[in-house]
Amino acid sequence: MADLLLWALLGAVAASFLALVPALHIYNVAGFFILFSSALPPVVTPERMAFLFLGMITGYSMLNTIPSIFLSAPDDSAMFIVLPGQKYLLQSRGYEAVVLTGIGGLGGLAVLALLTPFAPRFFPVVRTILQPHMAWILWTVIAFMLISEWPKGSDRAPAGWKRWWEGWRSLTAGLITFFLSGILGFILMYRSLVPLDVSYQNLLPAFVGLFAVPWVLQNLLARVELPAQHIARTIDAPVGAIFQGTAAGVLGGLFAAFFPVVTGGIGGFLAGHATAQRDERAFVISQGASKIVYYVGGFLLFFMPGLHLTRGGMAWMISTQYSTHTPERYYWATAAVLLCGVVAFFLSLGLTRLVIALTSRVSYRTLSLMTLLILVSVVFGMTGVGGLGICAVATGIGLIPVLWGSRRMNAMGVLLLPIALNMAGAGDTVARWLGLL
Amino acid sequence: MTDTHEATCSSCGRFVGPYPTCPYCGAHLKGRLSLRAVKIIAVLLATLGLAALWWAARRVPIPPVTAAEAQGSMNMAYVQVEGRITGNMTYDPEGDYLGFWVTDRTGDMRISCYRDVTRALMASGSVPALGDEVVIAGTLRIREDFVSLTVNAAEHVTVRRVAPVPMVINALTPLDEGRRVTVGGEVRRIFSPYAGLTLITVRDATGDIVISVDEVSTQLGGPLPPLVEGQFVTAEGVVTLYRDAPQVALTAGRDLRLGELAVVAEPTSIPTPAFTPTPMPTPAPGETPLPTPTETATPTSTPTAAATSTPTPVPTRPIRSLGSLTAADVDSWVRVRGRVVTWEGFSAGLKGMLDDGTGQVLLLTWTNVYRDLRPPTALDLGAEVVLNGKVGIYEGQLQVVPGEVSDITIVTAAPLPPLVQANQITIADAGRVIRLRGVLEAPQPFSAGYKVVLNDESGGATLLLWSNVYEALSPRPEAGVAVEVVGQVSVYRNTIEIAPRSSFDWRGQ
Repeated sequence: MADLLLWALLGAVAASFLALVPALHIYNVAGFFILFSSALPPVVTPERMAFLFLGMITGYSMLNTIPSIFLSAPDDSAMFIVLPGQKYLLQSRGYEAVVLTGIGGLGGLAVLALLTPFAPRFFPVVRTILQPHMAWILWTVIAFMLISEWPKGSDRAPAGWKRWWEGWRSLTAGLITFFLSGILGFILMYRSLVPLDVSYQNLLPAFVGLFAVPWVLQNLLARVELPAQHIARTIDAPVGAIFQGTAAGVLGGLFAAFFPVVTGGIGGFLAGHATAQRDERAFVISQGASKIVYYVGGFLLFFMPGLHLTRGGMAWMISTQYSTHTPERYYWATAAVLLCGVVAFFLSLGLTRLVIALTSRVSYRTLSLMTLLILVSVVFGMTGVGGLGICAVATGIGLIPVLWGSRRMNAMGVLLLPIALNMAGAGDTVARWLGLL
Repeated sequence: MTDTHEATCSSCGRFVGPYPTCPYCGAHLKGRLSLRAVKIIAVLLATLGLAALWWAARRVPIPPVTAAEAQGSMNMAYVQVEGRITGNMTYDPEGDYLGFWVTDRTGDMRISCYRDVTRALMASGSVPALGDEVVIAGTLRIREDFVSLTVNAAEHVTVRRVAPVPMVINALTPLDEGRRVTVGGEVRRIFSPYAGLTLITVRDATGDIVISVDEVSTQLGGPLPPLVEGQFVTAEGVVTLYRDAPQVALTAGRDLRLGELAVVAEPTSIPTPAFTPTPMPTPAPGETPLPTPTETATPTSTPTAAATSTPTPVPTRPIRSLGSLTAADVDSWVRVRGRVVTWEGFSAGLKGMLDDGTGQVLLLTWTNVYRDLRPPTALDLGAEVVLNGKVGIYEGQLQVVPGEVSDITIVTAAPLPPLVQANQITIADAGRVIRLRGVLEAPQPFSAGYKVVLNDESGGATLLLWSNVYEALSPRPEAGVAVEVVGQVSVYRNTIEIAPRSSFDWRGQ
């Protein structure tokens, strides 16, 4: 059994370094493992690969905060960290923001560990209760997401259409983003241009285009002068803020981990509203907790006896090679997560210093261009020309909220709209309207 | 963070941030992207790009895959599979879940249809069934141990049902597995081993077969018609194997249709009118459903005025005269009538010669059939019977073998063998079946069973109990027990022995 922990640890350390590569999602790395699984040496058994992935997802979810804050290259679950993170960054407190997120992550791991003895009894019951209600809950989430967006105008435009447009600009942009990304989701679901043999990465070009590329382009457009960063010896995080942030993050993360389609970003957004956080420190901590619980907790559901729920890209990928049903493996998985999480946290402290040193020497614009190059390479390498086309269109959609000031989360319509319509029994009707059937 | 050279004016060196023109010296700053241009590009990509993507996607055919080709990296792909439905269908009426297995040339794939798709399929009457050829598109789901496809739209399920091939029952072999056939015959038995499964044994002139009807077939394809044993039916279904034996699985309750046969009453006299069977239709692929089987076409056995039983609307197979049976009838089922003129035991049952005045054939009853007769002893020497049996040949002798107790109708029960005294039995009685009453002495074993002396008031007689008979007796014979026993007289080395032919000849204390 100890070898499984070692594999997990190996995954965590590797993912901690890979997480520093801007916009490189760990799912893409794991995807290569799946793609070349038949060529892997026999020592990489499916079970070892599962624990390797477990370590990778733990390491990644702890450390992907660093590029999100320092390079503004978040994935969909880290997008809420960017704005407060950048604020910390501009105050020379980027290191502190990473540590706060890490504290939230450790808090999330602690809660996952505490839940371990009860979860196999609790979650199957919850699942049974919620299963018939998934459709309307998902539509409620969508409705809340769309109607909770406030007009962001200055209220100084001249009366008439201009004033109306200023008020409705961001709202309209949000709705259009949701609608267009939803149509993109339908196309990907029924007639994707991604080659058949890499269909498991069908959403990769869309997610890169919707979330990562617009950030990079924004960085290229903006002229940002970043101050020198301070490596703090103390953290401004009262115990109350830690508990409040962790609790809110765990709430959102668990919701996202358990509920299909809802990602960590949406979960964090809902939890933030539910707990009415005003404290920015608690908010940053909550995002760290939410991210860990969403990614790691979601994957742990796959190991949970009596539930065996496939949530998140990692679980979907490994489910093609491996399944487990014993409590023993679940406890080992939890142990691996704890070990990897703690190691990744300490790695994050050192690697943040490394990134600070790097960004002080390399132009921000150069880093952004490198990031863009990496993104395009990953998309093209994995999904070919068809994927690049999807990524380009998704980038156009993803730029709408960036340029017209609405929530980027609306781009999650790529998953939410088709799945919610399918759950409501109208998915095939819409697909028929679109001529995709 | 060394981006200051990009955020400062190249002319005066002051910080200008995102301005395209220096607010201090008025210099036009080069190398900056126009926000308006970015907005236009974004809108074009998001709208025209999406439209182009949609246009291209509509022209992308759904890729076909086989079960063997499906691999982990294809997870969640929208693909098309083509094959034949095998195995049982699964249907959950509460959740409207429909599941089944499709087999192509390379392997199996599980197909799952959820609520709306299932309802749409049912509404359009295109619910696939076992044995159907299907082309299905859906989302591929690869798991460690199996491959599944989730159907997202009912129009992506194309069903082609092969025309059933009319078959006679004994022509069905394991090689016909998966073939859609029509068989017809008489319902011999209706049995439900557990809730949700009904097994109907149907027999035609060539043999019998089980028609299996599971719950899903009746839920999706209508209920079975009310059935009684003896009813003639035709069934359209798919040949499946149960323990390597073919059976016909009904895919819809409505595919079992009641036959319309003329009423044939039981004749009472011997000999019966000769019945010449019409040859069964030769099965050929693509034929129209099975013509009404032989019996329906030639009800030559006219009811006689002397019929003792009230005619019922249960059609029966016409009676063949024993003299008309030939080797050509081997393996076919016939209905015969006759009187038992000899009756003896053998290791697995009892057998005897049946005579109807036109000829004789051996009647062979296995122990399990014989013991179910009420009472078994009714079938013995002198009994007159009507029976359905499968014609066989053993050591050159034609025999008729009833399959189950319901195949045997005792018209006249066998009379009791004559009760004799022990001292009345002579060597000249060898071969006779007699009845004795007396008290037993202690059984004495020999190599093939036991011998035991029965004493009555006239003397003693040796009873020969072969091992199979002795072991079937309960309680076992022991000294001092009074019994009545029937047996066949035989002579061995000048000693008279009376051998019970079966445990049923041992008639209690």
